[in-house]
Amino acid sequence: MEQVTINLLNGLSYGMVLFLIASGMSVVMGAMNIINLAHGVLYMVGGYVGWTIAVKFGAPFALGLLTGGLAAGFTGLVIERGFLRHLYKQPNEQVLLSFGFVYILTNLSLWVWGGWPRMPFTAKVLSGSIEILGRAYPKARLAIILIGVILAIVLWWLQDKTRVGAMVRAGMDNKEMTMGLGINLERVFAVVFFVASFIAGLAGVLGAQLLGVYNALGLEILLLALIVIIVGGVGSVQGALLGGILIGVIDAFGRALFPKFAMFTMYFTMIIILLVRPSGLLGRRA
Amino acid sequence: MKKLILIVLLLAILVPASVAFGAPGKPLKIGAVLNFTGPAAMLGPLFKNGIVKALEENNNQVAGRPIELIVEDGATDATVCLEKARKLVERDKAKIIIGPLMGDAHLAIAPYMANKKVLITTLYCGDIKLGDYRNWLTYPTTLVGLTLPLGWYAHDSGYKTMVMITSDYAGGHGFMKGVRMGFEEKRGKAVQEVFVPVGTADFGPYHSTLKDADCVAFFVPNTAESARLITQYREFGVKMPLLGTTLAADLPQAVMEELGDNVIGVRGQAAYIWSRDDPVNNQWVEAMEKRFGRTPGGLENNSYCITSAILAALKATGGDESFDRLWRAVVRVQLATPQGPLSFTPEGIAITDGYIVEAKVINGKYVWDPIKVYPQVLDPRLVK
Repeated sequence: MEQVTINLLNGLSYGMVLFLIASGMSVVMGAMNIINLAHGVLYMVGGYVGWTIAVKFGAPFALGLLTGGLAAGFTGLVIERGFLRHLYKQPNEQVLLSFGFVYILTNLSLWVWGGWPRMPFTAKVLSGSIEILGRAYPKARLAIILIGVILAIVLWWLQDKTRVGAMVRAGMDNKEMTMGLGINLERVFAVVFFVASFIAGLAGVLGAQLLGVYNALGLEILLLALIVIIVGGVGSVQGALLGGILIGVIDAFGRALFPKFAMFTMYFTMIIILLVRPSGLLGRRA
Repeated sequence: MKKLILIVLLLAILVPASVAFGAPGKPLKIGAVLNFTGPAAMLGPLFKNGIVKALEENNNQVAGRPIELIVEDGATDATVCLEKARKLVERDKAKIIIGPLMGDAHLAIAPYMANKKVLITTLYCGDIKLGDYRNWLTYPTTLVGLTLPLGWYAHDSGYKTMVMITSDYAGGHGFMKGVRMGFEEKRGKAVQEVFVPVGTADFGPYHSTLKDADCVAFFVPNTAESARLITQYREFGVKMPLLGTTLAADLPQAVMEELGDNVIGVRGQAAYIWSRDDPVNNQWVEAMEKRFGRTPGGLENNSYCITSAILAALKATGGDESFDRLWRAVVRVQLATPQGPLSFTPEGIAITDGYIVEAKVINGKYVWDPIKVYPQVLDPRLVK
């Protein structure tokens, strides 16, 4: 029983990190039709900036979270305003350009932070473990689950219950009609891109509690984000949440029960979902 | 006639002058394939420092021939390593190549290098099969030879049972095979072997399924994974003693400081320790700190020792880099190195000391403190 609980918690904490990285990317793909492969390196930028603030300068972890999110948000905004907005409806060019940013930002991080990985870090109050069913469990992981749930609610509220969210959803369904109603969709999209990048940066700092930060992270995390989006479906926060949790939990149990096949469990899940529901579990159908 | 006398006079002046100033021989090219980009990008500069230091100690020449070092970026990619090695051989005409690092690159390059009769080296161990080619210098030893002492040490510490966490790729299997061989040779028993994929982000699920044993031994392939494994091992409150492999190379001092108390008490195998008190080592560490402004680690040591061995062989051949003469000379090299005494088997596999270290704080610094030495370790399969 305690092993099931521990692995469920492991899956949930890992799944929340996956949800946060995938949610922004999914909404950008769904709302703006932009395939931003630089989303993974925005996660990495957030992690590095958060590390600099919280570990190098010894500032509170919460400040590291905020600055990590802002750094990624503004970097994303520069990419969107400076480059990607000229490439709407040109998916091949978007892929090439955003993948170029993967290399640029990875090498910039190598130059700024060096090649040695930065160790997992967390707030002082979150370091150490608490006992769950007689076994030690890291407090930082429980915090990740809690923060993930709060952010999921906020993002869902933003998407489904606010005027901006309604504009984004309208733009997803019919861009021309929405613009015809006098909505400055370009500005809305810039805000969406900033928020998505901000969340990626935030996830970078939160995820650093588990993974640390290193300069290959951008590509590694991108692959995971794409799997979550495929499973959960493009364009919805709920889909990213479901996909993240599903992949996280399956991965945790796969590693615990079938360690030799751990590499394949999440890919196997993705294949099954693709066969049964090609648009993902909660994807918006065309 | 006057012209002839003039020529003779000119020659009389020029020839002794050239002899007096030591006319340089044809440059001797040494190639190196190191990683400056990709996941192992941080390792390339360190390996390069070791090579540069060894060359500088010889004034960048050997037997009157100036040495030209040509460094290529292998990008932590076997295909790129092969391309760069081919470039070094075919365009630059290098007959000696240092590196690459990764085992998959060794396998990709080996047949080509054997065909071209190029002397080539590993940078951090290699599979025993490289010895079959008889053109590879495998330093500091084979994968198995490197970690064998950890198995012996586990037994010597009174442990009877062991859980093994092994990174699931050829190198990982090789390293942990050494631990198992050493432990089982002394009648220890491995009760569980957990294979984890390369690049594992979350070790939590594995830690929660470990069986009870006297100790846990592990190999994961890089700094980020080693650090995560140790941190998460502590977070999950696993109490069994943790024994690691390739520790000093994967977790240098700066990384240990970030790991903090989590790393204290971890013991394991290390190929080189900068803090080992030995006159040759002390002098080298001081010289490296002066030259590069940082305390050297196992990576600098490896490339330094390999380069020093090649230079010693070149001195023995009088600067002749033709393969057959150079190979015969290099496997006979015996050196006192910062790592300890160095010699080679006829297959080109280095025989070096094996160290066991423990993470401690000494004088306010996190260090790998050498606690046991297993002298001149040889892969037992070579003895047979």
